[in-house]
Amino acid sequence: MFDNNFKSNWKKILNYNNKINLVESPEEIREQVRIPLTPIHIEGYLLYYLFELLYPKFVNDQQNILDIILSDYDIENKVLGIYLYKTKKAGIHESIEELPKDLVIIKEKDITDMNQLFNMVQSHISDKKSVKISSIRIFTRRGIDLINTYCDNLEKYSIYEFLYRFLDLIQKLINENLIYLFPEPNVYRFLKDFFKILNNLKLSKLFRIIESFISSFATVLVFYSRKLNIITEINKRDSKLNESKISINLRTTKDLDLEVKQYLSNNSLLLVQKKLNSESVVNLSQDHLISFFLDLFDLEIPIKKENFKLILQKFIYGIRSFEIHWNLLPRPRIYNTLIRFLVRLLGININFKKLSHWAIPDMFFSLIDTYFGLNSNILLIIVNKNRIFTKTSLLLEIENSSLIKIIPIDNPEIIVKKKVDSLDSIRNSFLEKFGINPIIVKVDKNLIQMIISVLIFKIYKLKPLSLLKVLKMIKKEEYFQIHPILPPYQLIRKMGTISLLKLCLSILIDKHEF
Amino acid sequence: MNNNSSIAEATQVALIKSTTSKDAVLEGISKLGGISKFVKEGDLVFIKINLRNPGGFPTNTNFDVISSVISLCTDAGAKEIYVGSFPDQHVKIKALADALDLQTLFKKCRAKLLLLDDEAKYSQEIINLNNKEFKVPSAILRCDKIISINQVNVDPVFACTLNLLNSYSIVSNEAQQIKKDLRVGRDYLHLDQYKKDLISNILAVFMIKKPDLVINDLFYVLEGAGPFNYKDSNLKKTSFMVIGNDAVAVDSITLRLLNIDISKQDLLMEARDKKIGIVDLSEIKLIGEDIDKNKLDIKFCASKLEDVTVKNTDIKKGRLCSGCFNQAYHLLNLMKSKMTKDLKYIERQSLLIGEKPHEPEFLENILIFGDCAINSTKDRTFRKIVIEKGKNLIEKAKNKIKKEKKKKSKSKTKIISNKQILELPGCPPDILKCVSSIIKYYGKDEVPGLNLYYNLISTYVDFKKIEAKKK
Repeated sequence: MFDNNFKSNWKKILNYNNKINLVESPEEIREQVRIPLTPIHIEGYLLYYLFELLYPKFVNDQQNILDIILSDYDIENKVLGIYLYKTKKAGIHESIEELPKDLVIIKEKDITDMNQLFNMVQSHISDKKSVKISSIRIFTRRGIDLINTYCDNLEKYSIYEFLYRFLDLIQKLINENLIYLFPEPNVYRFLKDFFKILNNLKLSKLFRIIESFISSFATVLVFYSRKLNIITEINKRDSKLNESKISINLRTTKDLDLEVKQYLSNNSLLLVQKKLNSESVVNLSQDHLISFFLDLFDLEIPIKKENFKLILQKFIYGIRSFEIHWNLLPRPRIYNTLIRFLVRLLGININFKKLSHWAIPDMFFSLIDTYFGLNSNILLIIVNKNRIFTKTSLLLEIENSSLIKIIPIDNPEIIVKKKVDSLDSIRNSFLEKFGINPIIVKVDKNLIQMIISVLIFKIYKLKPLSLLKVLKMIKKEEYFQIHPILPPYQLIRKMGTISLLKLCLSILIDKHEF
Repeated sequence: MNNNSSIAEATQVALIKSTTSKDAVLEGISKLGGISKFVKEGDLVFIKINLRNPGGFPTNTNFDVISSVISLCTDAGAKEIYVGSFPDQHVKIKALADALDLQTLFKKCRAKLLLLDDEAKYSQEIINLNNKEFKVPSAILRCDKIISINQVNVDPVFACTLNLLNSYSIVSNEAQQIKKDLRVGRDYLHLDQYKKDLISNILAVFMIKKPDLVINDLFYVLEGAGPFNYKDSNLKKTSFMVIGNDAVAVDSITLRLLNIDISKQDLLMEARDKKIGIVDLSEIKLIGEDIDKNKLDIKFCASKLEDVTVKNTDIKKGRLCSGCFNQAYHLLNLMKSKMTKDLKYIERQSLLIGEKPHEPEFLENILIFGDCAINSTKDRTFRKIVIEKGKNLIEKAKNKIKKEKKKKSKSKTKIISNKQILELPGCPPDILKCVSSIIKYYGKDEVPGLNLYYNLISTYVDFKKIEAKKK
């Protein structure tokens, strides 16, 4: 039922996984496979490791999985195919067995109660195959067709195209109930609820917007763990066409002949940087990242303010634990003690190792609650030198401090025809058309690019002057504007750049060094 | 019987539940007989809203509700529609309107925002009430019809922000202040004379120009801490709106809906005793939803100051009036919301409130809040600290190096006044003055959160003027 290309790759993976149990040092088996549903080729052992690591944590941590393919039209018995994966380790698919499709009868009404359906299927399989399944994955025929169409020529796609289409596929499969998982993993529930917030906004469109904010970079992410270090090489080059050129390469330290276990030393990172000729190398802990994402997917959507504060605290704590839980090469200049000392003489305290992770979310929400309100509509307009940049402006609907809806505004009468510098007229049009009185936030693409570049991709070059440059840009109406001129924005405009930087840093950075 | 039915006929209150606040207003007014029952062609209409400060919803009245009422008045043929209110202390309407861009917004709806505090533009009439002069803008007095739209939030003194309280801000905030008036033989604190005087003034001002249409917007209610957005605040969607022609009746239904015992609500009891409006349910014709089936479960403000838990802050309370309670409640919530970081730096502080508060546990960072607390603690022991006099540090160090045993010498002590005390005067104290005094006391570096808040307020409040007044 699946596309041949998909099927042959999947079989290759199953064979590889099967072989692994028979050898003593599985990493010695060198065989390239393709990550399912992607055009990315990696070593079979790396894929095995990723499944072993991620599947139990994010999808299901028990053995034996049953795939069921259902018809979209039949009512009496919808089953078109049943496939059993007997797994010795959770997540490691090593063999597939096609079962007779009349082994289980599923009617239209059964799908409404997944719990009951699962129990029924589990007892049938247990009786007839003496195998206790721990989860079922249901694919509808339409879902399979969609996946097959997506897989067509998949290997020819560029990474940009793949990401764009992959996001669309996932959104469609989940939104239109073309796949079901039971027991429902948190990540599935999280995505399902998140797509509801996105309304009609396509995830791929959001990706396109975000991607356009990131200027060219070449970085290597090293995900370290006791068992296996994963080296991910990511390059992005802007092209004059619509698409950017992105390349992603996944390897292990062994592929680079680096005999290092666990946390990579600066020397090893330097070796990686030299070997891969990248601008920077970031060393991240697999365990910490997984723990963060598990916490994130555990959240209910819309995310309540208090929960959001907690996840934000964890994220900021992660950033502040530089050289403890993560590392970066070249070492950012801003961490240089002498530079920090000299800057502090001027009254500016920049120490990212002392980010107030415990206070920033509280202060941020207090500011938003006080001046934007507990309920608000925020119209986000992204511009490029005062021209509408994305053709899509976003209306963020907030209720009781939680983001409940993101609505794309494509109405040309409201935004495109209006001069972007006249935010007042945009608000009036909004009032007339929708009866909504939004707070308009206009941000220039260059400002976002600058912030992302300075604080993320080029952080190793960060100087106090770059922060001042960003603040200066924020103070200029052409780059950043809020309408109406709420007190926080008034303050930004009124205050001198250095005073503003000092005020912000006093909130962001802990006063005490030790 | 006939008499009763005619009262009921006159006092109608609509209790409406709907999917949007706009729909609730429209449905409520329609159930009361339509807008034409309240506004006639050619009328000058004044819409009294909540306009406290440039904060976000629900600090001020919901704009959706205001615009719906304005559009109804326009349809009814109102000649002019004015919107306005006096804001919180020290806040100028112009600054507030600029921050929220209200003038253009109301203009768009064909209404006009009145800058009531601009005496050069809007003349004021002096009205003598309760031996006090109240300046009321003539623009309001001249209007044919008054519509009062009130956002209901929890309130530390009156349980929730009632419509009667909304009507009080047709006079300036300065005029709303209650001056301590000690009467012979009457205990100001025990009788809570502050609250009595406040209620008396609220009702007197209300009687100057009673609203013709009253809307209590409970579609969203701020619960937990209010009426401003604080850290403990939570917005509860109830989908209800209470609308009527008698403010007292509307408030009475609102309180019942919120499951509050009316007999304990001094403001409404006083209104009933003075025959200002109808309080008893039997005399109100209720339209719409059944009140008994729709009681709301709302979390009200902390009734004791000790229940507002502020990190590293020890609250010592004496006898206090509602004025000090209200202001202390706001100061504590402000500390909790804006001083997250500051309170960790400060490590510990004591807040002494009311007459004869208990002794603080520590001798540092003692904030004495209000005249009663300041005057009644003048002779307290914490005001003085004992220090050792003439300590010879070099000699002490020498002894330590030589490891000589301490010579038992008579240590001389000196009593000096405790400098780690901050007095926050006022009866009750002014919160913004308190904020500025606390920043000066601790220093900007120690209170970055409060300093940020101060800078934000400075964008719409003239602190120089406040300081000059203080001097």
